[in-house]
Amino acid sequence: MSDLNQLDLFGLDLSRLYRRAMLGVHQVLWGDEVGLRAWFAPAITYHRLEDISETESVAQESSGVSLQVLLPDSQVLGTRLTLPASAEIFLDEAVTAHVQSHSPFANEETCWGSKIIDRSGGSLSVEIIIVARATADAAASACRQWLGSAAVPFGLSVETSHAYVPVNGYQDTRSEEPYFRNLKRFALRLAAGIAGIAFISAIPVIWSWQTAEHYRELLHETEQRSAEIVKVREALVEAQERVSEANEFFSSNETYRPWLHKVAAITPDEVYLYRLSIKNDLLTVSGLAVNAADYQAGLVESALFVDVTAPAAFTLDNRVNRESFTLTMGLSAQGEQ
Amino acid sequence: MKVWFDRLPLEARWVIGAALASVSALILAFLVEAMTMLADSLQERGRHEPRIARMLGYEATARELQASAREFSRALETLAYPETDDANTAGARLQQTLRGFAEESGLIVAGSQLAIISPEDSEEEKGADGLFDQLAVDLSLDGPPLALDAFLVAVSQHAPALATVSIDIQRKRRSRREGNETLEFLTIRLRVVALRVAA
Repeated sequence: MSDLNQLDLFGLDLSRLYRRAMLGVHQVLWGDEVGLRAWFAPAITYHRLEDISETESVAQESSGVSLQVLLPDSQVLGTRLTLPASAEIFLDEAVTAHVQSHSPFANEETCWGSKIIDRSGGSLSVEIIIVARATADAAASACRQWLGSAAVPFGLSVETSHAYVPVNGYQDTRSEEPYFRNLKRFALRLAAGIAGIAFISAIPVIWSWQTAEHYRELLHETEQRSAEIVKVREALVEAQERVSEANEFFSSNETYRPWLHKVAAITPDEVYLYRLSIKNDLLTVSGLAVNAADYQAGLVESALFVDVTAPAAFTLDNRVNRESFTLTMGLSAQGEQ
Repeated sequence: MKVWFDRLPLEARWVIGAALASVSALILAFLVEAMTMLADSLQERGRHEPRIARMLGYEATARELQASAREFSRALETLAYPETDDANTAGARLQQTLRGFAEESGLIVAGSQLAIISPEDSEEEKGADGLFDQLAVDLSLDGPPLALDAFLVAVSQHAPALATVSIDIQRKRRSRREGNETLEFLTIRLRVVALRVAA
């Protein structure tokens, strides 16, 4: 527990997190539960130490395959340790302490190995084997002698009732090379497969993007080519709009001359107008008449005007013996025609 | 698969979960990017296609468009003063023209005033808002009805077109010293409006 990584972030110690992450990676790569190693690593052949002198041809047959040589049970001390599952990150330290407390040999004369054999019930059951270093060295020498010049990686293990437990410090790192090679090859194939699928799925996108690019260029060319005619069209649209607006303006304003003629034609000789005004389609006339009501009736009957009304009463002007009147009326569409 | 995953040690589950999540995030990001590009390019194409077709259509009908543009420009010239004419200059010219019409018709010009109503000012008024300035000339005239008739004829024949938006006619009351009082002599107040293409 002394070699904790002191990872620190904003005052938080991340070393436990780091150790858990590393443990997870270790479990994925080497754990029996994940099965990655069983899938990609070549099968391991096991030989008992007491049998190797009798099987001289094994080394040749096993060329390129890693070997594990099993130490005799009589030379191995087996023990078991139970830990909470959450303590797995400290497994090495716990096993080391357990071995030191249970080994009959001096510390420097002790070598050991361990393997988790059960993870049920929130606890770990760890099988531990303890071997005298002299015994392990002798076994390793015997193996080397047996294998001779054949470059076959080998390691020492112990067979317990539950598993094969490798002895730490007596494993050839080359034995893991085929596993990593296979794993790397698989990863590369997977990446290539994903890249291929990605490329195939990107083909419509690339095609669509190229088409859009083509349209963009075509639009640019067309815009440049037709800039002049577009201006002409814009001018046309503007002129159309203005002409329409102007026509609407002039058509909404009556031409007064015909109305003056109509009023003159409809007004009898005995009616004298002294004021006439037209504004916003509203005609107002003031004058004198022998009978102003008759004049109003005449205006109504002519159908040239609408809403012919007298805003004030007709009054008799004694000086000229005629009725003074003021009449307002709207200009009708029929009258305009 | 779920049973297999559930049986894994917690830390292995974290690592596998994180690895799968990372790969899924990468695939998702790739798919989102690809879909975005696809949608953008399709949208762009959909936007450009009708514009190109429209411009090709303009090119195909270039002569007709040019002819129509000329025709409408001529029509506009008969309805409004051109934009190139300064509003004050055009207004002053209009005022002079109307006074000339009045005098030629036999009316006496008692007064006149020019008002230039810009599109912003004419928003409340009906018609021609936004596209035209209005050149409004208020005239006070004296004269006989026949002269008024001749004046209105001249106004109606003017190009660009003019609109008489209000008219007020009263019998002229002459002083007794002038003698020869006649009902045929009128005082006329009217407003004539012309349009000018606004900038």
